[in-house]
Amino acid sequence: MKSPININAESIKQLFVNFLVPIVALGLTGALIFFVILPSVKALPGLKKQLEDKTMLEQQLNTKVGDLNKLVNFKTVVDENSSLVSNALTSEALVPQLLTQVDQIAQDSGLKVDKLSYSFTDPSKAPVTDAEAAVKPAFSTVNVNLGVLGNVNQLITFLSNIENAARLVDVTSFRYTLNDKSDVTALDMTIILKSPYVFVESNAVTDDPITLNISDKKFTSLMDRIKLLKFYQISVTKDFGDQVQESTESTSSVH
Amino acid sequence: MSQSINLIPQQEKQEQVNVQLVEVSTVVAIAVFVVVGLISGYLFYQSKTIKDKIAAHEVTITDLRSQIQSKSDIEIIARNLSAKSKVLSDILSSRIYNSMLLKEFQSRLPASITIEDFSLVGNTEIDLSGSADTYITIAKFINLLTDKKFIGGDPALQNLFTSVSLNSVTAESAENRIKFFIAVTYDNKALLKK
Repeated sequence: MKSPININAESIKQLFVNFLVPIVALGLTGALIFFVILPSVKALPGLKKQLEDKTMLEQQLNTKVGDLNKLVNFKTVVDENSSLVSNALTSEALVPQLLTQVDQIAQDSGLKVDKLSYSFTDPSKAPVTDAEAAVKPAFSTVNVNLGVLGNVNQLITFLSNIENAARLVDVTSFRYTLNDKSDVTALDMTIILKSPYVFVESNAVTDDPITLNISDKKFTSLMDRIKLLKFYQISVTKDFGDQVQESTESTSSVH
Repeated sequence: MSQSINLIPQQEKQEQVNVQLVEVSTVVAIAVFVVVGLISGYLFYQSKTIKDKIAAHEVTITDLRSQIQSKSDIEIIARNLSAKSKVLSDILSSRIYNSMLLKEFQSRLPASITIEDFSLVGNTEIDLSGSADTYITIAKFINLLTDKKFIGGDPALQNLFTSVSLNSVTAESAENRIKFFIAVTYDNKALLKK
């Protein structure tokens, strides 16, 4: 049976032979487009981004190595600064030392300590809403309630000494009233103090930059300011003094 | 008018057209191939160059990381110091120096006034009760507190006390004194140390 479609195989073969070079060239062109150009075009933006990231990371790490080398070279300064900061802002409440410091400053200022008690404010125990979390302090505090007898000048000296003490103690409020039982210059004073403390535990995070710059003007001025504060060397074995009534402890939460 | 007569046979003409077609298509195909080849080569070179650079960066990064890890002790100290100094800086920059407040208050207090009760209310108000010889002394005391040109105190604290409100005045005939109760507001920003 004769096929209805008349295919001239010889002419097709001839055509193929004649156009062999263009066909091969177009085939190779197609292959290049599909196997080289398209994958490259797709991959290039990603590769460029990767290169950019790696370059930045390398720069960051280079800077960090430089910073670390600088810190290693000035390790004594870092240690000294670290010690200064730890004296000003302790890692733990260290209540006995704090009460002793307050008592010592009060007595050095000429005040007669009548009452000394403390309580904790621990932000982590407080019920925290989103709004509260935004203003939540990054530290805990020991609140000290101090009752003293003295005069106004002694109170000014006390406040000044407290403000210049190496361990940070802030005066939240104070009140004084004339003491009727004593002579006219004697005042009954109640001073509410708070001392912050913060526990910081950092890890070495290889890729993150070091934010500390010991030669930064702001940092050095902070250190200079701390150096001017008076450090009270307090041994935990030291007596609190006979005149102090009793230290009581209670815990309150921030609301 | 001359006429050209094409004597080439029709089959020969067809053959010439075919040859031309083959030539043109060959040239075009090769030209396209060359162009695509060049583009491919360029892109391949680009990719390879970038990959080589990435590999080189990775080698450097690995080296830098090992250097950093060998200094992890100092890094931890630095991070702790950085975190604490930031908290400390925040605390100190917002610290109110109440000794300055009391000193300034005392410098503006006339000798004939006796303060019987001095109480800080919040961070901006002082409630005071006391006694004086005369009403004039109380008025003088109130004026002194808010005097912006007061000379006897700290020049930096001339604007410390912003307002004084005399809440009550009572004459005590038994003691021959005049008792008063006043509320003083002050600008606590003046008590910050930079």
